[in-house]
Amino acid sequence: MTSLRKAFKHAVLILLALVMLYPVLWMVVSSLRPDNEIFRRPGLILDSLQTHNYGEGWNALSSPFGHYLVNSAILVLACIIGNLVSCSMAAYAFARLDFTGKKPWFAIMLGTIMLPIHVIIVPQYILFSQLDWINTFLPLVVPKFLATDAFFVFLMVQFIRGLPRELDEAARIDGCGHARIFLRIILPLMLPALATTVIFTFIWTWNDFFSQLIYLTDPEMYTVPVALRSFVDATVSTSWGSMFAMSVVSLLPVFLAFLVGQRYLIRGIATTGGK
Amino acid sequence: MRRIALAVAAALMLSACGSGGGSADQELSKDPVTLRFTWWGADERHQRTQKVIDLFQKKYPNITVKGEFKDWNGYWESLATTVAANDAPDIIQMDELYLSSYAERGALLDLGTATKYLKTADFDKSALDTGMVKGKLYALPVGLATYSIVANTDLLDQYKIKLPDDATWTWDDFKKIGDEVSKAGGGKVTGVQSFGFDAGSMNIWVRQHGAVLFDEAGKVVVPENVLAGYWTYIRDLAKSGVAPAPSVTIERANGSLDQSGTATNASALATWWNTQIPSLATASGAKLKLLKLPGESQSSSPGAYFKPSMYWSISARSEHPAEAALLVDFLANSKETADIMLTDRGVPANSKIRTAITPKLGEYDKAAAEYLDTVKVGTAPRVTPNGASDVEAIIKRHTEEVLSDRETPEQAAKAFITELQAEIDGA
Repeated sequence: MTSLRKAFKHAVLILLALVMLYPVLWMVVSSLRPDNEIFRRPGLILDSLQTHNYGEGWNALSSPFGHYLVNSAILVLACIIGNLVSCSMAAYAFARLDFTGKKPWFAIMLGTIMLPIHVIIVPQYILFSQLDWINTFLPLVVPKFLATDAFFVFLMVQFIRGLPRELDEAARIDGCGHARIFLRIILPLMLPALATTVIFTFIWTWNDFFSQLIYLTDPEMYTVPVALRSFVDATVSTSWGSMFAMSVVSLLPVFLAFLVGQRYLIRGIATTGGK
Repeated sequence: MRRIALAVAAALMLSACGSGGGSADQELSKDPVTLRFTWWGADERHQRTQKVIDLFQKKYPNITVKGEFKDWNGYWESLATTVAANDAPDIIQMDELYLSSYAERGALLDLGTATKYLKTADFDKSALDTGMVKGKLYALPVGLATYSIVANTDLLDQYKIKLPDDATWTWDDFKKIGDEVSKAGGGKVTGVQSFGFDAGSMNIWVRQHGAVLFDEAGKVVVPENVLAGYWTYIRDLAKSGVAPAPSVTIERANGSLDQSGTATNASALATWWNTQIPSLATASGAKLKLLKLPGESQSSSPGAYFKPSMYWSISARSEHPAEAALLVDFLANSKETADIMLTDRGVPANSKIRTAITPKLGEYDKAAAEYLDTVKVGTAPRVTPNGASDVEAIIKRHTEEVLSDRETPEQAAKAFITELQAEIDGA
């Protein structure tokens, strides 16, 4: 009886998963079709396998697509390092140190999560353009080193609050200062939270379109999302095949990151109370 | 979300404006000059434009041109931000919808001051007029398009339906032929792909009824009953099965050109800009034909008009306006450019260039160019006023409301006028 119920449950789950995955499957299939058939014959059955979209898409823009993948990779790596270093330190301060105005500062930090990017983009742009940082990765990376991703600070604060204070006190009795408590005790223990930060930073930065569009103006500096969008234009016909092919290529890193990091991700979220 | 960016940009732009850049008729610099040139489009246009840039740089070795290309939506977000931050590109590809909002805020250079390097002699006056805002030329039209009906002759042949005489047909004929196709198509194919999602169809309808959308001062002056007639016609098309069910129509209207009923051979007749026929023909694979608009022969003045596909503009704060004017001149007047671009940016508005490239065009590009010469057009409507850039979004929303029976055509007409006027007053 139970095995029957289990089988039924799984069948339903697999079916739902297929429904959720349908758009992705359709994209993969479409990337293997000639351009003009993509919208004329929707459906998942391929009657011929055409891989030329991949070759064409790779070379369609002013640089080979690999160039944009490298740009995105550099950017993502820098953002990950920035977030790991700065957010963990900020989180330690909020969770363990006592300083004046801690509560209001914490509230203000959380408040920044709610500011939509469209409100701050113009002042930010003016600031960065006066620093002559436009068309470099700096406007996208430097803020990460200043703990501006409040979401991760919050995530780590919650995690550190869950660690027993006795550990800190024991370290203190053994003669550790804050630096050593942070590096030797807290940091190794918050590995799940750090892993969550890495994965989310990876996915969000990899997929971020708007700020990269605004700050990177030279096609040489384009990242994957900006390059992908330059395949599409609503007013003329678009090389959908090439775009889908390159979308598949650019999905792979995210897919792999998720595959590898999934265990940490779930643990990180479960133990930080960010349920 | 884009509205926020625009509003912020607008607020800042007002405070940032004041002083202008250099003068456009000064001597060309002998030192290295870098120009930033921005446009929207898809990969095909990017490649062609880059070739033109390479040619220009070879001709003027001390000028470096940096191309910045975006897709349509990202383009306007990015342009609003850079203009507000006083960091606009030197050469800007401009659209009719946004022309007056940028020109009236002083973001664009008066091209009349750049005549030393930028020649406009080969452009018809009626074409140049489309780039005028308050009597000054702020934008040079690149290509021209006019509203038309695209008919799928393969489908019509298949159902043995005769092509109508487009010199005399009426909107009733249009509906009748659509109905025949829908009946023969048995649910799979409908006669007409509903319009009501762009400013072109509304302008045509309004003009055929002897009215205009905006008066010279930029006020919405279209009579309510004319608009109500427009939406009644659209609703009738859907109700009678001539056009697809509202849900299908709305879905297609929100998709791209390749997802439309014409491109997927699901509708036999549809309204399009004549210059879109090559893309449509590639996508559909069927034989297509451009027809004149219904109702033109019954109306006292032509509803059809020339719409510039896009314009060239120069930023008012460009540090190198003379060199920028030189590049625009190269883009608009040189045969080298035309040979590379062909009709990618529309059938050229420069009449000399248009004649020169017509023999080189493919079947459908040629059809589009020839259509421009045969169609009878009236004077162009006023440039979309500052603040009314969202007119298409408003039209689209009301069409959706009418099609889903949440609004009567009369209510839609009334609400449309109020909303559009409020947008203009608020700008």
